[in-house]
Amino acid sequence: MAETNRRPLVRKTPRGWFFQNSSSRRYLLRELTALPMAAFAIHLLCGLVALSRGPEVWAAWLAYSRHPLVLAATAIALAATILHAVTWFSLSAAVVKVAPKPVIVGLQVTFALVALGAAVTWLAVMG
Amino acid sequence: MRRRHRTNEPARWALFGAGGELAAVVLPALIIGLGITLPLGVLSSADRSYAGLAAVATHPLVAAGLCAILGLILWHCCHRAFHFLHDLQLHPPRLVMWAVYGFAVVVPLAAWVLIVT
Amino acid sequence: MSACTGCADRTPPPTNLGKATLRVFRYRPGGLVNGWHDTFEVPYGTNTSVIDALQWIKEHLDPTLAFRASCRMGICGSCGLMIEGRPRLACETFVRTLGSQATIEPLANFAVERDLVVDKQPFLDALRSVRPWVVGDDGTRAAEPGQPAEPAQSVEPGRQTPPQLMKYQDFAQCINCLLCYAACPQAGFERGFLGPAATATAMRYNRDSRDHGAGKRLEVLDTDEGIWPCTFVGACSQVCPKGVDPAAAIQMAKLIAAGRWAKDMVSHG
Repeated sequence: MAETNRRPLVRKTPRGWFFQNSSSRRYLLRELTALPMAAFAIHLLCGLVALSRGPEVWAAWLAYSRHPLVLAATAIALAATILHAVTWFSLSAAVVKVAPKPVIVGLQVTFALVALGAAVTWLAVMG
Repeated sequence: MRRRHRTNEPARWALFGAGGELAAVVLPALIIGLGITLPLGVLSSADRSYAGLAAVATHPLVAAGLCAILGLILWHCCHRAFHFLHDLQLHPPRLVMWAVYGFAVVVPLAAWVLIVT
Repeated sequence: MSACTGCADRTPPPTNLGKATLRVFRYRPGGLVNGWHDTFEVPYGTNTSVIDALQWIKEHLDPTLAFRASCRMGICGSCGLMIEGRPRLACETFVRTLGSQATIEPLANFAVERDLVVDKQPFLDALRSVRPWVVGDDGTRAAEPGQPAEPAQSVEPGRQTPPQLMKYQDFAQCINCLLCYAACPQAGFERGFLGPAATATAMRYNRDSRDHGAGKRLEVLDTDEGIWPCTFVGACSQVCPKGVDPAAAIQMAKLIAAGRWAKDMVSHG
């Protein structure tokens, strides 16, 4: 290697970079929505299993869901999910703006079908 | 020169995207419906809802669909959690990756097996 | 120098607003290991940009101050700096808009050579790797700059309709000022990350109707150091002075890579 007087200074990102400015704090919050959402998905899977195990187990899951701490966790999950939905749609709007037409139409059809399927399932379950 | 090494990140990201979109579309309704109003008996008496619910939701195909939806949402969350490790400047070994994503596969699968057996 | 009479009617003459204090990052190879900050008092008016202030320091207070600047009009992309912690172009930032003691530092996520000058080489390597030119249908450049096109290459003029131009025009506005890299946290952790501007440029050529290089570019984009370190923080698009939206370009590249992955799965089992 040729001799050089260069001594480039490499600066490391501090570990607490999330807190440096408001946009990185918002990013941190957005990424953390995953935790309460995951907890609620697992909670619902438990409910499904309880449903298959007979009325007593189902009643126990309902009683567990009514517990103030669990209700508080559910409220946090709801807030996290709404934040997730808001950020998700605003970010996908930025991508859709530059996406090719077939990709957009394909995605829209897919998710319309998924939402429809979810709505039908929902009505069937509640009805 | 940059070399192409095959990465399965495209597949992991596609499932993350599907789960994220699903979560944004259906999860608020699921939380309000099944997490709050159902246990509190706002819409109907929760304890009497058992027969109707169990008849539909424990059908193997319906249960598979529900587990798949919740599994995708869980996958989305695990993907974010795994990348968050990177944001914390941790560089976890591949085993951690398998554990995190495996969790999102094993949990809904186990739930489905428990429902149908 | 004669003043533009048309502007002179409307623009008030620059007013002296007093003195501003600038905390400027300093670094010498072989000096203090982590660099230091010098504080300078600079006279400023309504039209004093940060470049003007740095030039004034160099001429009146410290001739050894090193910084990059060229066009002074937001088109050359040389003068990107961290101004009060945010990546901005020094030529488009006026001293009067800054706080009472503004900190001026070299662009984050790049190695510092001297004072405010960073090493742009990692970006230049990334940019070159995505073939930032129109690739001809035989896989070569359509025409090397300064050389006549070879007969084997397409001699068709690259005509485009306005809609074909609009498909990539936004991405073509990039001036390689690297503010997006300085804003991107992933560019800080992952030194080999291809990054926002290089990906936006790759997408600019992928979306060009005359180009045939998308397949080759995907081999660079779809790697662990290509687009995948991106977690869509979105900071790159927020700081871009040209409205390029590199974050959207990276997500587009991810969609294409995912589609290609699915296609490979179907065709190779």
